Amino acid sequence: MLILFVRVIVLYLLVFFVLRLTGKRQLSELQPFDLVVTLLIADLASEPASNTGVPLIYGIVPILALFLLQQFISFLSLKSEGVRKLVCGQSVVLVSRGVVQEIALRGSRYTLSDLMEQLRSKDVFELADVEYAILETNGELSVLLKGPQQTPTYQALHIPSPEARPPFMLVQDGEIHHEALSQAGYDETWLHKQLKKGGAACIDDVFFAFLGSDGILHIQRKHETGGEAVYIHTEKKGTEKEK
Amino acid sequence: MSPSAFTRINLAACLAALALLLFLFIYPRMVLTELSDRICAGANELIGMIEAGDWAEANAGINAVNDAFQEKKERLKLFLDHEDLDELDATLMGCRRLIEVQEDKQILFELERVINIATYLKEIEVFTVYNLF
Repeated sequence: MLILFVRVIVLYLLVFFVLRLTGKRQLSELQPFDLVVTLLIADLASEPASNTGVPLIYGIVPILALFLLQQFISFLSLKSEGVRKLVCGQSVVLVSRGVVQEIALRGSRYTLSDLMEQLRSKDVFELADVEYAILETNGELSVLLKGPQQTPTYQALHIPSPEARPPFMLVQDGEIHHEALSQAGYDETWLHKQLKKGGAACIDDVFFAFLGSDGILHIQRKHETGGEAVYIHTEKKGTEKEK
Repeated sequence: MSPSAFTRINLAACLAALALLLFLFIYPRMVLTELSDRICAGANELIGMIEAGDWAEANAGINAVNDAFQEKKERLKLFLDHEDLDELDATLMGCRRLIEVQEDKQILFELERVINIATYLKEIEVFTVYNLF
């Protein structure tokens, strides 16, 4: 039993590193080729993991061979447009200038119902609203709405846009995320000051403190200390005003 | 991971994988060929001894073959199906007993079996079209 346990650990580590090195995309974002390789790797690992009569090498060699092939083809795909088209395929325009491309639809084995389903998943319920619809190589449908149906931008409305900066999780479960804090341009003194304003006596009382991209610091105390949420408007470094 | 064409980590992992695979293509075959040849030669010698009725020599011969196998058995478990190795182990043990009791008919069949298994194990690692499919 201990042997089975250790075998699983070895194969787990191998599969983990191989999958990490082949890319950390989500399953839904994988190209069909990547998906097949991922499934193959998982399947190859299962037999030596559960059968102690099979040497681990019988799982390791095919997994490493697949990894090398995958890396080689990925490398070629990056270098050559032709290989990329061969491996990943090409995106197909299903709706062009508001006209559904029947031949492209048929060529992609897509029915009109499939197209409508994909459009609905993009919150588009009227085919007449679509200017362009492109079936991407990973099976996703990209949709460009007709001009009047598009969401206006701040620029188009001549409204000053909010400052574009990423949100940061500064505290989680009473632990300060120092890297995020420094990326946000603040220090611990500033954070403790804000937390005190948010009603937290010490860092251990804080469930989370989240600095939004709009500059609002959302502090929530732990359930034992009230579990209340407080929103603090922060401005430039070191200066802030409470909402 | 950096979006560059081919990161250093990937390159290092590919080289390490390649080195390991190359080692696995060469080393197991070397060990297997050496052991298989040793067992087959030993078994053929044993057949000659038994046919000549030299049981004392045969007893020393089977021990030598068995020792050579036992010495490499654990290492071979890294590369070969454990059941195949256990089968060869059991057959060699059977041969030893049969030589001890001087069972001359059955021992010849068993020694042929040892030769067959050893040849089969050697051929597993030989790259041929038939093995490929």
